Amino acid sequence: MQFGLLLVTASIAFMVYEAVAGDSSHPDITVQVDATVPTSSGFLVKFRAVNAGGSTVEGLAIEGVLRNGSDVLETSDTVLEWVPAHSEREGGLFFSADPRQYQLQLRAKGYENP
Amino acid sequence: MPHDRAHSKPSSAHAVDLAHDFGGALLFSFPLLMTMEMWWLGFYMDRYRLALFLTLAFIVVVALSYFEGADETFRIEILDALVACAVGYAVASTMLVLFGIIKPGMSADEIIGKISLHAVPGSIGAILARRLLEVEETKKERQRRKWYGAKVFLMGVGAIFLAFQLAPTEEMVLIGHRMTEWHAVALAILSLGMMQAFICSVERSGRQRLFAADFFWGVFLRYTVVGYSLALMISLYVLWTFGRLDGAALAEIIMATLVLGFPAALGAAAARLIL
Repeated sequence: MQFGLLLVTASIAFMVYEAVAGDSSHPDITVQVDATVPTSSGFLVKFRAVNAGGSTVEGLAIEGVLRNGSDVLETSDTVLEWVPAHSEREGGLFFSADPRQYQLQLRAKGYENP
Repeated sequence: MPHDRAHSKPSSAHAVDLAHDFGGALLFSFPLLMTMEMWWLGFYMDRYRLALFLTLAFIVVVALSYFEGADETFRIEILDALVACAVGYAVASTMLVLFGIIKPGMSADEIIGKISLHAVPGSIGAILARRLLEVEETKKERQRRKWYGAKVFLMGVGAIFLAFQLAPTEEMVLIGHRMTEWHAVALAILSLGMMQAFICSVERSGRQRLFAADFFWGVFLRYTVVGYSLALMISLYVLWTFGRLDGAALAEIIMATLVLGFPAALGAAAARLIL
Protein backbone atom coordinates (compact mmCIF):
# COMPACT_ATOMS: atom_id res chain seq x y z
CA MET A 1 0.00 0.00 0.00
CA GLN A 2 2.65 2.50 1.15
CA PHE A 3 4.61 1.12 -1.77
CA GLY A 4 1.92 2.16 -4.24
CA LEU A 5 1.77 5.67 -2.77
CA LEU A 6 5.54 5.94 -2.99
CA LEU A 7 5.61 4.80 -6.64
CA VAL A 8 2.82 7.12 -7.78
CA THR A 9 4.07 10.24 -5.99
CA ALA A 10 7.71 9.55 -6.81
CA SER A 11 7.10 9.12 -10.54
CA ILE A 12 4.87 12.22 -10.74
CA ALA A 13 7.41 14.22 -8.73
CA PHE A 14 10.24 12.97 -10.94
CA MET A 15 8.41 14.01 -14.12
CA VAL A 16 7.64 17.47 -12.72
CA TYR A 17 11.28 17.79 -11.68
CA GLU A 18 12.41 16.76 -15.17
CA ALA A 19 9.99 19.28 -16.70
CA VAL A 20 11.06 22.16 -14.47
CA ALA A 21 14.72 21.58 -13.74
CA GLY A 22 15.53 18.86 -16.24
CA ASP A 23 18.19 19.19 -18.90
CA SER A 24 16.73 20.37 -22.21
CA SER A 25 20.05 21.09 -23.90
CA HIS A 26 20.68 20.28 -27.57
CA PRO A 27 21.47 16.73 -28.61
CA ASP A 28 25.15 16.02 -28.17
CA ILE A 29 26.11 12.82 -29.98
CA THR A 30 29.43 11.05 -29.87
CA VAL A 31 29.99 7.85 -31.81
CA GLN A 32 32.64 5.48 -30.53
CA VAL A 33 33.92 2.19 -31.90
CA ASP A 34 33.35 -0.75 -29.61
CA ALA A 35 34.95 -3.51 -31.65
CA THR A 36 36.04 -4.41 -35.17
CA VAL A 37 35.48 -8.05 -36.11
CA PRO A 38 35.97 -10.01 -39.34
CA THR A 39 32.83 -11.42 -40.97
CA SER A 40 32.46 -13.91 -43.84
CA SER A 41 32.21 -11.08 -46.39
CA GLY A 42 34.42 -8.40 -44.85
CA PHE A 43 34.51 -6.58 -41.56
CA LEU A 44 32.03 -5.36 -39.01
CA VAL A 45 32.57 -2.26 -36.91
CA LYS A 46 30.37 -2.30 -33.82
CA PHE A 47 29.74 1.17 -32.47
CA ARG A 48 27.90 2.95 -29.73
CA ALA A 49 26.23 6.34 -30.11
CA VAL A 50 26.06 8.27 -26.84
CA ASN A 51 23.72 11.23 -26.51
CA ALA A 52 25.11 13.45 -23.76
CA GLY A 53 22.56 16.18 -24.48
CA GLY A 54 19.15 16.66 -22.92
CA SER A 55 17.05 16.17 -26.07
CA THR A 56 15.97 12.94 -27.73
CA VAL A 57 16.82 12.40 -31.39
CA GLU A 58 14.91 10.30 -33.90
CA GLY A 59 16.34 8.76 -37.09
CA LEU A 60 19.97 9.53 -36.27
CA ALA A 61 22.12 9.02 -39.39
CA ILE A 62 25.55 7.53 -38.67
CA GLU A 63 28.30 7.55 -41.27
CA GLY A 64 31.61 5.73 -41.24
CA VAL A 65 34.35 6.86 -43.66
CA LEU A 66 37.39 4.70 -44.20
CA ARG A 67 40.43 6.64 -45.46
CA ASN A 68 43.89 5.75 -46.62
CA GLY A 69 45.72 9.01 -46.11
CA SER A 70 43.60 11.51 -48.03
CA ASP A 71 41.90 8.91 -50.28
CA VAL A 72 38.41 7.76 -49.32
CA LEU A 73 38.32 3.96 -49.60
CA GLU A 74 34.80 3.23 -48.46
CA THR A 75 31.76 4.84 -46.90
CA SER A 76 29.06 2.99 -44.94
CA ASP A 77 26.04 4.42 -43.19
CA THR A 78 23.10 3.39 -41.09
CA VAL A 79 20.25 4.98 -39.15
CA LEU A 80 19.60 4.56 -35.43
CA GLU A 81 15.86 4.87 -34.91
CA TRP A 82 16.04 6.59 -31.51
CA VAL A 83 18.71 7.87 -29.17
CA PRO A 84 16.96 9.31 -26.09
CA ALA A 85 18.52 12.06 -23.96
CA HIS A 86 21.42 10.89 -21.79
CA SER A 87 21.17 7.40 -23.26
CA GLU A 88 23.10 5.29 -25.68
CA ARG A 89 22.24 2.92 -28.53
CA GLU A 90 24.39 0.40 -30.37
CA GLY A 91 24.75 -0.43 -34.04
CA GLY A 92 27.16 -1.75 -36.64
CA LEU A 93 28.68 -0.77 -39.99
CA PHE A 94 30.03 -3.21 -42.59
CA PHE A 95 33.20 -2.61 -44.61
CA SER A 96 34.94 -4.79 -47.15
CA ALA A 97 38.45 -3.55 -46.31
CA ASP A 98 39.86 -4.04 -42.83
CA PRO A 99 39.18 -0.80 -40.91
CA ARG A 100 42.05 -1.56 -38.54
CA GLN A 101 44.55 -1.11 -41.39
CA TYR A 102 43.32 2.40 -42.30
CA GLN A 103 41.83 5.49 -40.67
CA LEU A 104 38.19 5.06 -39.73
CA GLN A 105 36.06 8.06 -38.84
CA LEU A 106 32.56 7.63 -37.40
CA ARG A 107 30.23 10.57 -37.04
CA ALA A 108 26.56 11.46 -36.59
CA LYS A 109 25.18 13.25 -39.66
CA GLY A 110 21.70 14.39 -38.79
CA TYR A 111 18.44 13.62 -37.04
CA GLU A 112 14.76 14.48 -36.78
CA ASN A 113 12.95 15.96 -33.79
CA PRO A 114 10.48 13.41 -32.41
CA MET B 1 -2.92 -3.35 2.76
CA PRO B 2 -3.81 -6.91 3.87
CA HIS B 3 -3.92 -6.03 7.58
CA ASP B 4 -6.42 -3.24 6.91
CA ARG B 5 -9.08 -5.72 5.96
CA ALA B 6 -7.89 -8.45 8.27
CA HIS B 7 -10.98 -8.09 10.43
CA SER B 8 -13.31 -9.09 7.63
CA LYS B 9 -11.40 -11.51 5.40
CA PRO B 10 -9.08 -14.47 5.87
CA SER B 11 -5.57 -14.04 4.46
CA SER B 12 -6.19 -16.50 1.63
CA ALA B 13 -8.82 -14.09 0.30
CA HIS B 14 -6.19 -11.35 0.16
CA ALA B 15 -3.91 -13.59 -1.86
CA VAL B 16 -6.80 -14.22 -4.27
CA ASP B 17 -7.50 -10.46 -4.46
CA LEU B 18 -3.87 -9.77 -5.25
CA ALA B 19 -3.79 -12.52 -7.89
CA HIS B 20 -6.88 -10.94 -9.48
CA ASP B 21 -5.10 -7.58 -9.47
CA PHE B 22 -2.08 -9.00 -11.24
CA GLY B 23 -4.27 -10.87 -13.75
CA GLY B 24 -6.26 -7.74 -14.52
CA ALA B 25 -3.15 -5.57 -14.82
CA LEU B 26 -1.57 -8.00 -17.29
CA LEU B 27 -4.75 -8.47 -19.30
CA PHE B 28 -5.35 -4.74 -19.68
CA SER B 29 -1.78 -3.57 -20.20
CA PHE B 30 -0.22 -6.15 -22.50
CA PRO B 31 -1.49 -4.69 -25.82
CA LEU B 32 0.23 -1.41 -24.92
CA LEU B 33 3.31 -3.15 -23.54
CA MET B 34 3.71 -4.65 -27.00
CA THR B 35 3.19 -1.37 -28.89
CA MET B 36 6.46 0.28 -29.90
CA GLU B 37 5.05 3.81 -30.01
CA MET B 38 4.32 3.45 -26.31
CA TRP B 39 7.97 2.66 -25.53
CA TRP B 40 9.04 5.71 -27.49
CA LEU B 41 6.48 7.94 -25.81
CA GLY B 42 7.97 6.86 -22.49
CA PHE B 43 11.13 8.80 -23.27
CA TYR B 44 10.15 11.54 -25.69
CA MET B 45 6.77 12.79 -24.55
CA ASP B 46 6.63 16.17 -22.83
CA ARG B 47 7.35 15.78 -19.11
CA TYR B 48 4.63 18.24 -17.99
CA ARG B 49 2.04 16.32 -20.00
CA LEU B 50 3.27 13.02 -18.58
CA ALA B 51 3.11 14.35 -15.00
CA LEU B 52 -0.43 15.65 -15.63
CA PHE B 53 -1.44 12.34 -17.23
CA LEU B 54 -0.09 10.31 -14.27
CA THR B 55 -1.95 12.57 -11.82
CA LEU B 56 -5.26 12.29 -13.69
CA ALA B 57 -4.78 8.54 -14.07
CA PHE B 58 -4.35 8.21 -10.31
CA ILE B 59 -7.56 10.16 -9.69
CA VAL B 60 -9.38 7.86 -12.13
CA VAL B 61 -8.04 4.77 -10.34
CA VAL B 62 -9.20 6.12 -6.96
CA ALA B 63 -12.65 6.97 -8.35
CA LEU B 64 -12.92 3.54 -9.99
CA SER B 65 -11.98 1.94 -6.71
CA TYR B 66 -14.84 3.85 -5.09
CA PHE B 67 -17.45 2.89 -7.69
CA GLU B 68 -16.24 -0.66 -8.20
CA GLY B 69 -15.26 -1.47 -4.65
CA ALA B 70 -17.44 -3.32 -2.22
CA ASP B 71 -15.72 -1.88 0.81
CA GLU B 72 -17.36 0.36 3.31
CA THR B 73 -15.07 3.29 3.91
CA PHE B 74 -13.47 5.75 1.52
CA ARG B 75 -10.13 5.20 3.25
CA ILE B 76 -10.06 1.52 2.27
CA GLU B 77 -10.99 2.42 -1.30
CA ILE B 78 -7.93 4.66 -1.48
CA LEU B 79 -5.77 1.89 -0.05
CA ASP B 80 -7.15 -0.46 -2.72
CA ALA B 81 -6.32 2.10 -5.40
CA LEU B 82 -2.75 2.35 -4.11
CA VAL B 83 -2.38 -1.43 -4.17
CA ALA B 84 -3.65 -1.42 -7.76
CA CYS B 85 -1.04 1.22 -8.67
CA ALA B 86 1.75 -0.78 -7.06
CA VAL B 87 0.59 -3.82 -9.06
CA GLY B 88 0.53 -1.70 -12.24
CA TYR B 89 4.13 -0.58 -11.66
CA ALA B 90 5.25 -4.12 -10.83
CA VAL B 91 3.68 -5.57 -13.99
CA ALA B 92 4.97 -2.76 -16.23
CA SER B 93 8.56 -2.95 -14.98
CA THR B 94 8.68 -6.76 -15.07
CA MET B 95 7.30 -7.00 -18.61
CA LEU B 96 9.44 -4.15 -19.99
CA VAL B 97 12.57 -5.82 -18.61
CA LEU B 98 11.47 -9.22 -19.94
CA PHE B 99 10.85 -7.79 -23.42
CA GLY B 100 14.28 -6.14 -23.39
CA ILE B 101 12.78 -2.66 -23.65
CA ILE B 102 14.54 -1.50 -20.51
CA LYS B 103 18.27 -2.12 -20.65
CA PRO B 104 21.49 -0.87 -19.12
CA GLY B 105 22.78 2.30 -20.78
CA MET B 106 19.40 4.01 -20.55
CA SER B 107 18.96 7.12 -18.44
CA ALA B 108 16.78 7.22 -15.33
CA ASP B 109 14.47 9.58 -17.19
CA GLU B 110 13.91 7.06 -19.98
CA ILE B 111 13.39 4.10 -17.64
CA ILE B 112 11.06 5.92 -15.23
CA GLY B 113 9.17 7.46 -18.15
CA LYS B 114 8.56 4.08 -19.76
CA ILE B 115 7.55 2.32 -16.55
CA SER B 116 5.25 5.03 -15.22
CA LEU B 117 3.45 5.42 -18.57
CA HIS B 118 2.92 1.66 -18.90
CA ALA B 119 1.84 1.40 -15.26
CA VAL B 120 -1.32 3.42 -16.05
CA PRO B 121 -3.24 0.75 -18.03
CA GLY B 122 -1.94 -1.85 -15.56
CA SER B 123 -3.31 0.06 -12.58
CA ILE B 124 -6.69 0.56 -14.23
CA GLY B 125 -6.74 -3.14 -15.16
CA ALA B 126 -5.88 -4.16 -11.61
CA ILE B 127 -8.75 -2.16 -10.14
CA LEU B 128 -11.21 -3.39 -12.79
CA ALA B 129 -10.20 -7.00 -12.21
CA ARG B 130 -12.01 -6.97 -8.85
CA ARG B 131 -15.22 -6.22 -10.64
CA LEU B 132 -14.72 -8.44 -13.67
CA LEU B 133 -13.35 -11.50 -11.91
CA GLU B 134 -15.44 -11.40 -8.76
CA VAL B 135 -19.10 -11.77 -9.52
CA GLU B 136 -20.49 -10.58 -6.21
CA GLU B 137 -21.89 -7.09 -6.21
CA THR B 138 -22.71 -5.59 -2.85
CA LYS B 139 -25.73 -3.44 -2.11
CA LYS B 140 -23.47 -0.51 -1.31
CA GLU B 141 -21.72 -0.81 -4.68
CA ARG B 142 -25.05 -0.94 -6.54
CA GLN B 143 -26.17 2.13 -4.65
CA ARG B 144 -23.02 4.06 -5.54
CA ARG B 145 -23.32 3.13 -9.18
CA LYS B 146 -26.97 4.11 -9.52
CA TRP B 147 -26.04 7.79 -9.39
CA TYR B 148 -26.09 9.52 -12.81
CA GLY B 149 -22.57 10.92 -12.31
CA ALA B 150 -21.28 7.40 -11.68
CA LYS B 151 -22.74 6.17 -14.97
CA VAL B 152 -21.15 9.06 -16.85
CA PHE B 153 -17.87 8.44 -15.05
CA LEU B 154 -17.88 4.77 -16.08
CA MET B 155 -18.52 5.80 -19.69
CA GLY B 156 -15.51 8.11 -19.41
CA VAL B 157 -13.34 5.27 -18.11
CA GLY B 158 -14.34 3.07 -21.05
CA ALA B 159 -13.54 5.91 -23.44
CA ILE B 160 -10.15 6.57 -21.81
CA PHE B 161 -9.34 2.92 -21.93
CA LEU B 162 -9.93 2.33 -25.65
CA ALA B 163 -8.63 5.78 -26.64
CA PHE B 164 -5.45 5.08 -24.70
CA GLN B 165 -4.96 1.77 -26.56
CA LEU B 166 -5.08 3.47 -29.96
CA ALA B 167 -3.89 7.06 -29.52
CA PRO B 168 -0.16 6.21 -29.39
CA THR B 169 -0.26 4.76 -32.91
CA GLU B 170 0.39 6.82 -36.02
CA GLU B 171 -2.76 5.52 -37.65
CA MET B 172 -5.12 7.96 -35.90
CA VAL B 173 -3.63 10.94 -37.75
CA LEU B 174 -3.08 8.86 -40.91
CA ILE B 175 -6.72 7.76 -41.12
CA GLY B 176 -7.73 11.39 -40.57
CA HIS B 177 -5.74 12.37 -43.65
CA ARG B 178 -7.48 9.77 -45.79
CA MET B 179 -11.00 10.80 -44.83
CA THR B 180 -13.06 13.56 -46.40
CA GLU B 181 -15.53 15.72 -44.44
CA TRP B 182 -18.32 13.40 -45.56
CA HIS B 183 -16.51 10.39 -44.18
CA ALA B 184 -16.13 12.27 -40.90
CA VAL B 185 -19.84 13.08 -40.69
CA ALA B 186 -20.73 9.45 -41.44
CA LEU B 187 -18.29 8.24 -38.78
CA ALA B 188 -19.79 10.60 -36.18
CA ILE B 189 -23.31 9.36 -37.00
CA LEU B 190 -22.18 5.75 -36.81
CA SER B 191 -20.47 6.40 -33.45
CA LEU B 192 -23.66 7.96 -32.05
CA GLY B 193 -25.87 5.15 -33.40
CA MET B 194 -23.62 2.49 -31.95
CA MET B 195 -23.59 4.14 -28.52
CA GLN B 196 -27.35 4.55 -28.60
CA ALA B 197 -27.81 0.84 -29.36
CA PHE B 198 -25.50 -0.23 -26.52
CA ILE B 199 -26.94 2.12 -23.93
CA CYS B 200 -30.59 1.39 -24.83
CA SER B 201 -29.95 -2.28 -24.17
CA VAL B 202 -28.40 -1.47 -20.78
CA GLU B 203 -30.99 1.10 -19.66
CA ARG B 204 -33.98 -1.01 -20.68
CA SER B 205 -35.55 -2.53 -17.61
CA GLY B 206 -38.08 -5.33 -17.70
CA ARG B 207 -40.74 -4.86 -20.34
CA GLN B 208 -39.68 -1.38 -21.39
CA ARG B 209 -40.42 -1.00 -25.10
CA LEU B 210 -37.19 -0.31 -26.93
CA PHE B 211 -38.65 1.99 -29.53
CA ALA B 212 -40.97 4.04 -27.35
CA ALA B 213 -40.17 7.61 -28.36
CA ASP B 214 -39.74 9.06 -24.86
CA PHE B 215 -37.43 6.24 -23.77
CA PHE B 216 -35.38 6.45 -26.97
CA TRP B 217 -34.90 10.22 -26.86
CA GLY B 218 -34.44 10.21 -23.08
CA VAL B 219 -31.51 7.80 -23.43
CA PHE B 220 -30.20 9.75 -26.39
CA LEU B 221 -30.11 13.07 -24.55
CA ARG B 222 -29.14 11.78 -21.10
CA TYR B 223 -26.46 9.30 -22.10
CA THR B 224 -25.59 9.03 -25.79
CA VAL B 225 -24.96 12.71 -26.49
CA VAL B 226 -23.22 13.21 -23.14
CA GLY B 227 -21.15 10.05 -23.61
CA TYR B 228 -20.13 10.94 -27.15
CA SER B 229 -19.04 14.45 -26.25
CA LEU B 230 -17.11 12.98 -23.33
CA ALA B 231 -15.49 10.48 -25.73
CA LEU B 232 -14.49 13.31 -28.08
CA MET B 233 -13.03 15.42 -25.28
CA ILE B 234 -11.08 12.45 -23.96
CA SER B 235 -9.82 11.69 -27.47
CA LEU B 236 -8.63 15.26 -27.85
CA TYR B 237 -6.93 15.19 -24.46
CA VAL B 238 -5.19 11.85 -25.08
CA LEU B 239 -4.00 12.90 -28.56
CA TRP B 240 -2.62 16.13 -27.10
CA THR B 241 -0.93 14.24 -24.25
CA PHE B 242 0.88 12.01 -26.71
CA GLY B 243 1.93 14.98 -28.85
CA ARG B 244 -0.08 13.77 -31.84
CA LEU B 245 -1.56 17.23 -32.40
CA ASP B 246 1.63 19.30 -32.15
CA GLY B 247 1.91 21.53 -35.18
CA ALA B 248 -1.32 20.20 -36.70
CA ALA B 249 -3.86 22.41 -38.43
CA LEU B 250 -7.35 22.77 -36.94
CA ALA B 251 -8.92 20.55 -39.62
CA GLU B 252 -6.36 17.84 -38.92
CA ILE B 253 -6.99 18.08 -35.17
CA ILE B 254 -10.76 17.71 -35.66
CA MET B 255 -10.31 14.74 -37.99
CA ALA B 256 -7.93 12.89 -35.67
CA THR B 257 -10.28 13.55 -32.73
CA LEU B 258 -13.25 12.17 -34.64
CA VAL B 259 -11.27 9.10 -35.72
CA LEU B 260 -10.15 8.34 -32.16
CA GLY B 261 -13.64 9.28 -31.00
CA PHE B 262 -14.99 6.16 -32.67
CA PRO B 263 -13.15 3.61 -30.48
CA ALA B 264 -13.57 5.96 -27.50
CA ALA B 265 -17.35 5.99 -28.06
CA LEU B 266 -17.34 2.21 -28.38
CA GLY B 267 -15.41 1.98 -25.11
CA ALA B 268 -17.81 4.39 -23.39
CA ALA B 269 -20.87 2.44 -24.51
CA ALA B 270 -19.39 -0.97 -23.78
CA ALA B 271 -18.26 0.19 -20.34
CA ARG B 272 -21.91 0.49 -19.29
CA LEU B 273 -22.41 -3.11 -20.33
CA ILE B 274 -19.21 -4.58 -18.87
CA LEU B 275 -18.23 -2.51 -15.84
